[in-house]
Amino acid sequence: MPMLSHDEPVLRTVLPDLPEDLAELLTGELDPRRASALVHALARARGESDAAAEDGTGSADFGSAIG
Amino acid sequence: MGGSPVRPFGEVVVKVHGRCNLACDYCYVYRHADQSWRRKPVAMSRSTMERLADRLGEHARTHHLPYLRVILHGGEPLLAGADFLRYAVRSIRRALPCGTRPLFTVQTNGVLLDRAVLELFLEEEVRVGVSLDGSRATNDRHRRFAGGRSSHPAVVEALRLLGTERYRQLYAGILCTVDVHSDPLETYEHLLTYRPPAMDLLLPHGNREHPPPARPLDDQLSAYGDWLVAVFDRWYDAPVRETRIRLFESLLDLLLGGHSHTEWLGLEPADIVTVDTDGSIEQSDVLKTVAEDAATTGLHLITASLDDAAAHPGIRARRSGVIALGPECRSCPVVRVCGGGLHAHRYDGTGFANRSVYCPDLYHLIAHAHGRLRDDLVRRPGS
Repeated sequence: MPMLSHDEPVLRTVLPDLPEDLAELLTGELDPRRASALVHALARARGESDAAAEDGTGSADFGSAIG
Repeated sequence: MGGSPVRPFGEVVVKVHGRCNLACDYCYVYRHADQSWRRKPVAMSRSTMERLADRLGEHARTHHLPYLRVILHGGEPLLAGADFLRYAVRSIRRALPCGTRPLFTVQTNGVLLDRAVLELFLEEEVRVGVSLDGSRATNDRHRRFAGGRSSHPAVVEALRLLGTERYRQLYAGILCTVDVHSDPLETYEHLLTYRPPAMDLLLPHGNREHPPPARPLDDQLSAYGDWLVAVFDRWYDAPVRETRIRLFESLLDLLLGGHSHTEWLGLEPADIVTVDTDGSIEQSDVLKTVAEDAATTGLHLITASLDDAAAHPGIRARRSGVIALGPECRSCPVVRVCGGGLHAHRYDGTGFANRSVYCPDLYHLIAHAHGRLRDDLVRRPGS
């Protein structure tokens, strides 16, 4: 069963009407036409790689708030 | 240190060169309140770099850092020249303990980024972030040479080269400063043509005393929020990931109970320190927009360690989370996500315990993203 690596109480504060069973939330089907950003965010919430290597997009880290 | 534990830095911004070959009208180094660059060396010396490397090694050993991010920065860092950049990277790498992995990135305007420089970065494992604000018309409004000539063609050439198969592994991303007068989708889609693995959208610096362009202190207006929301929806609704946007990924992660990846959002302590060309240890560079010497700590690599810097009251204040915020922020329903925004944007002429000058924009963006998540996660497709 997938576990949430993020702070579940915080998540439930932000989205209080989430389903009771977060595992369902984390594994359920999403609309594939517009789910890319959300799928990756849920992968990060599970503490997994968000498949950056697979889709060739690399790391989002390129220095902090500087430009 | 008052007995409280020192929180180590994970990222150091190194000012290898103090001048720039562009004259961007919004630059926080040259065009805002702080003019200390005039008193500092044009470029970092080798002896200062050696001292910095020693201090980084000391810090990494003390705190058993698994990695250390080193951002080669300026001014324009490529003005430091290939020999110095190689010397810098090798000095720091040599000084770090074997358990600490250095992660080097250079943040450049791209004008001098050619094949020879990229070969150096390939050899020395330095990733490259490039600043570009959008199409030529958008970019030319702010990012020009001192004589007024466009920088866009040179930057485009650099991005094309960086995107080739040989160098793509070095391509960190594009930093775009939002011009609210530009079309958000046109700007985003223009940047996508350079196939950046990641990008970030930065807001022009300003504060409550000196508001940014097109950002009056009026809670009814959120032109920057509207701009960001338009790009958020375009990015969020894409069926495949075209690029990563650090601001938006941080926003989703914070809404899902996770962590921010940027100083611009969230309550987590900043882990960044800046070292200027003269070896002075400074707070966040962006504080240069607030007042003369606002980023100064009075500490120097010769006499102070990075632990000394971590104990500096100004740096500690930036790392103290919600208690550093003003009463309006502390009672705000989105404070855990927003974090009060960027520290410098909260300044009102006397202090920082205020809402961000971008508060209406951040609130609008956060509420919008929250709504999108709620729609997708609570009312699941087919349910």
